[in-house]
Amino acid sequence: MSRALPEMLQCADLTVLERKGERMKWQQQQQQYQQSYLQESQMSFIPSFQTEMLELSMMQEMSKNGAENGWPDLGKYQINDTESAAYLTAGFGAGEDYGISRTASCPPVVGEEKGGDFPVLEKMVVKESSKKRRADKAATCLKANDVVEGTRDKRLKGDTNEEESKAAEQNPTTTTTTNNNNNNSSSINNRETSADSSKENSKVSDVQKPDYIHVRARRGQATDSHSLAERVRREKISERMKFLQDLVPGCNKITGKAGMLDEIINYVQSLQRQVEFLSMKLAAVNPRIDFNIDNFFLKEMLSGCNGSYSTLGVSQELTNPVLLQFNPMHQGVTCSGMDMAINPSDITLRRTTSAPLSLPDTFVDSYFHANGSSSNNWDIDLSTLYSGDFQQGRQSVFPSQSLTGNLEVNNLKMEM
Amino acid sequence: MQASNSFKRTFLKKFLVGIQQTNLASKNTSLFERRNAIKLSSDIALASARDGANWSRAIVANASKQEKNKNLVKNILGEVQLDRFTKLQNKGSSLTCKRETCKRILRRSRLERRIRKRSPKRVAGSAVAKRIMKKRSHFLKCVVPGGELMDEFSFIDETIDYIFSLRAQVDVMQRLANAFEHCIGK
Repeated sequence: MSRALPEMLQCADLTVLERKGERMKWQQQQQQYQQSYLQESQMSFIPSFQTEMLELSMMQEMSKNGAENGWPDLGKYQINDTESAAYLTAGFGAGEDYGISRTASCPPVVGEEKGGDFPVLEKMVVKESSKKRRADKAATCLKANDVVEGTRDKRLKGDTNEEESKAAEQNPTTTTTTNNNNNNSSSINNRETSADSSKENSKVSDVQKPDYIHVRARRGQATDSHSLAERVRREKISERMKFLQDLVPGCNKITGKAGMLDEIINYVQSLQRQVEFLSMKLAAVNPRIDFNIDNFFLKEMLSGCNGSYSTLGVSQELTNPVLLQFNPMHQGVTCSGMDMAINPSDITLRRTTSAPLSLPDTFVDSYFHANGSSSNNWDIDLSTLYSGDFQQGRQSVFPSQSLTGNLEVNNLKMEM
Repeated sequence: MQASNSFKRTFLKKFLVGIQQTNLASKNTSLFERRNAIKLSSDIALASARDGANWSRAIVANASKQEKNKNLVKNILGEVQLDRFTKLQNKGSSLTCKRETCKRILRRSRLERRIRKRSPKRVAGSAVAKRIMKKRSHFLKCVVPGGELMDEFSFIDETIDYIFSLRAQVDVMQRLANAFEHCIGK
């Protein structure tokens, strides 16, 4: 490979130079090339040349057909004339080695007949250009056969272009049709190059794969970095939207982004309204809350020891009819402390409030019916709780020690 | 897909602090005022419980715009958190100014375009759909606090986060209300 590379470069250089010089020099060097070509063709013929020639002839036929379709009346015969002549000469010039190409480009009989009318010069031209190419390749590409295939193809097409243009020069009558041919072949060229570039791009993304996000462009999608980034962004957004769709109840059935957004808006607004309503509710109860807040800290702390009550075996939510009635949506959640507080049936804590609103120093009576088994847990949690949180509550400091002491008694009266 | 219990607990704690604060501050007020105060305190409590999100910052910023609420915000958040919030908020405020001027220019240009477009033309269906989408997403951005300043991608993230915490908020408040009602019923 390392040896083949410089040769590849050389080959490319040659082709560029050659294409430039070709148009100027071809008339003088005709004979010379022909001779050299003959030598080359006798000397070494690689099967790849045959396939090349096959391709070439196929190309020409394709373009010819296109021209025929485009100009069914005008250019049909003439084009047939020129090209069939070219094919014939090429085929004959190559001798038995080009049998394949001849059969592939099998010209119509009419063309064959008329081919004789054309000047020899043109035939020579066509022959010569194909010869020249072959001579070059025989010299340079022998070693790097597989490697240079892509470039060779391009070169081939360029040469066909040249051939066509030369034919146009020779035959001013067929200019329109040959232009058409040129367009065809050039469009093919473009396609080829675009395919090449896409290949390159895919290679690049493959190289980048371990470092960055792996992006795969499907067939026909753009592969430049901007559109790739945009696609990644869109995918991410749609992923998130899917997640949002799962989050919002009843959004799964809706197709279309607008409907989904509608549903999300409705949901968020309903939640906000719910909050408003609940705050209204709380505001209505508000004056009485005043004195209970400390109790709620207690309850909140109790929520910490909720796990110890799992020994009771009954899930508190399910046994509580009040909760089920009020929030059917949130059955699965346990917010522990509160549930216990308002559950009269089986749970350990019962509280009654007899608080007149105006007086700050009223008594809130709370009865704790604690099971003997769980009383130990209560001790720990309450003591830790009151030492930490309760100081920010009211001035009347809670006698935590007496509370923990009393908790061991099953029935106690708490004074706040 | 539920918010964690610890989140709910912190929210409840802050919320109760806020309620206490409002009760101490205003003894004889109308129901609506009290409702607003409670809603505000619940929002701020939610914001402080969910620290770090854009929407919570926006809530705190909106709340502390008014002088009378500043004390409440300070009490609920605490000094350290408030510092952090205000720091971020100051950074964001310059951004809002810029956005507003941009919006003004944009509105003007849009007006011009609208005038130009008055000529009766058939509008493509895709254009209509696009406009509807734009309207919806704009509306959603208004619904989520602080959504106006976000780009689309982070906005969706924020919306998900906001919905989670709203659910938690509703849940906790419902329980609280139930508990109070039960207490009163006894």
